[in-house]
Amino acid sequence: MSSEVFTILGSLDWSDIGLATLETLAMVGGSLLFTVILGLPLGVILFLTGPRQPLAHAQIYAVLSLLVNLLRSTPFVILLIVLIPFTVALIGTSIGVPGAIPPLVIGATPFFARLVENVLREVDRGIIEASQAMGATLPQIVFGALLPETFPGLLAAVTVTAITLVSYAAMSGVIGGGGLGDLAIRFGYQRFQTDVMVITVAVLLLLVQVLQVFGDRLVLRFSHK
Amino acid sequence: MIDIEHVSKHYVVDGIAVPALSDVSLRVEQGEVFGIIGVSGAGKSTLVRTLNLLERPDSGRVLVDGSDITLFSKTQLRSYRRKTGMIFQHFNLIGAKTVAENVRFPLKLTGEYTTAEIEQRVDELLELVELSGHRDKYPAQLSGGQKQRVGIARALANRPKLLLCDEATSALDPQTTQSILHLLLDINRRFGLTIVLITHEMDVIRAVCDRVAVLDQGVLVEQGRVAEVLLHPQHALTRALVQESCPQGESAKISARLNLPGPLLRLTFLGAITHQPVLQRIAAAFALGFNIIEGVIGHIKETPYGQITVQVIGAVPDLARLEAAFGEHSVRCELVQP
Repeated sequence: MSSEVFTILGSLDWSDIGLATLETLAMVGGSLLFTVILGLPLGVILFLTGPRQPLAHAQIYAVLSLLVNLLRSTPFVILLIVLIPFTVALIGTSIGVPGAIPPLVIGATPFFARLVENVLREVDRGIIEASQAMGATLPQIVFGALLPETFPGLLAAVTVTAITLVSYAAMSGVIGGGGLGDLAIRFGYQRFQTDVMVITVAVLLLLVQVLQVFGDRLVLRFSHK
Repeated sequence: MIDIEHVSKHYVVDGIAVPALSDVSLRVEQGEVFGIIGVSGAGKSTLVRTLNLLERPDSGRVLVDGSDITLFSKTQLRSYRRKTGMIFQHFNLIGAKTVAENVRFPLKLTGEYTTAEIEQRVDELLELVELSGHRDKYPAQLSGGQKQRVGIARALANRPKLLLCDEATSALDPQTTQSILHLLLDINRRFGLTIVLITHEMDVIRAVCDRVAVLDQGVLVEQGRVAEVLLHPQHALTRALVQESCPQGESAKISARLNLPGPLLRLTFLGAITHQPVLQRIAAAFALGFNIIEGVIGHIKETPYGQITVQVIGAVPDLARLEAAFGEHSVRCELVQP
């Protein structure tokens, strides 16, 4: 039995798997960066324009909320396909690691923004009130009170988003994105190489596990509760 | 000096307008400690928040040193708020910031101070509230009283002229409450800071306030010097609140149970006379005995006071003469039951 497993594993092209893992990491890392850059302000604006918040504005909130829900309710596989023309127009290709990043960012940003909104809503209203009473401007409240106060929660939201992006990145293999998903589909699915499939899933699992543990550590490091 | 003039405010709850403040007018003098008391839902929080416009009145004016703050521009309002401290029932500290960082926050908002000036001020403030040894702790590591001290240091950071206290001691145990109240009084004296506080406890009013206003369902029902309001409450709510803090008014029942003849007198002492043996002197002069039925002796801020109900034992003389004799000692004498 053990020699059988060894034989199967021995026949694998480990350099392909290594490359695919690096590609996946690049897709997750790149898209996570842009997701945070776009999603954090979107989440803050969602929060601030929400009911009874400092910039409460029913119309703006409704439009943003609808947009976020629209993108979140579209299955990511569909989003991948629908966005192909947009991705080509934006960066000239829709395949490989670069081609996967725009749909990943567009798929994950609304998700992350909603998480950010929820994290901010957890802040005691008294903290905003106290800041207002001190004569803080809105940017001072956001950067001086809200974001520092919610930093651990935001780190947790980034962790959850990174993990979602791992699975999204694997899915992008369907339309020719690189990485582990691509490997699983081309070898594991189309060529019936079960061993590749198993290893891919194992690497993905390991990746998710590492991200979660690392994220939890960071959250704990910055919590002062 | 603050003048609240005809301030009204309502909230809309489920489409129905609920009045929170109805035509409230009051004046707070420079340097005094002004208390606003009422039961929960009376509009106290709303009223104190009109003083820094965390709540904007629907109508009426809020004059601070002659200018109507409801007419301030955003910039004017911000700089006014920076000169107006506020502390809260639940402290509202930023949990992710240390004690020193929390106190630094209002100083950094102004953009007026250098880093060295800010650090010096933070040190001064922490010393004032006796938290110098806790500067790098997080709020979660502090007791309630310590958290409120951080709140006070933060509120005083920009050397305000006015300090608003929103139920500042309501979440604290009685002993901690006393120490926070002492700190507030100390600050009031040392810096001539005007303090407006709201509370539902008459004990807080008695301990620190110079004057008090009683709020009942958004309406100001009584106001005046604390001694006057406490010793001679006019409104039913005020009587109930006084009663809560020092139960009195059972005299008739008690004397009926004791089955002793003789009229009941309520004697009110205020000031140094409280500690004089007035009862003994009058008892000797009239050859009478006094049976103390119930009463309270304590301090209103720093002024000693007492209010006791006594039963006159012995051959009761002309009551008017007895009242006059008490009056000579500046003791107010009222007949409760002949």
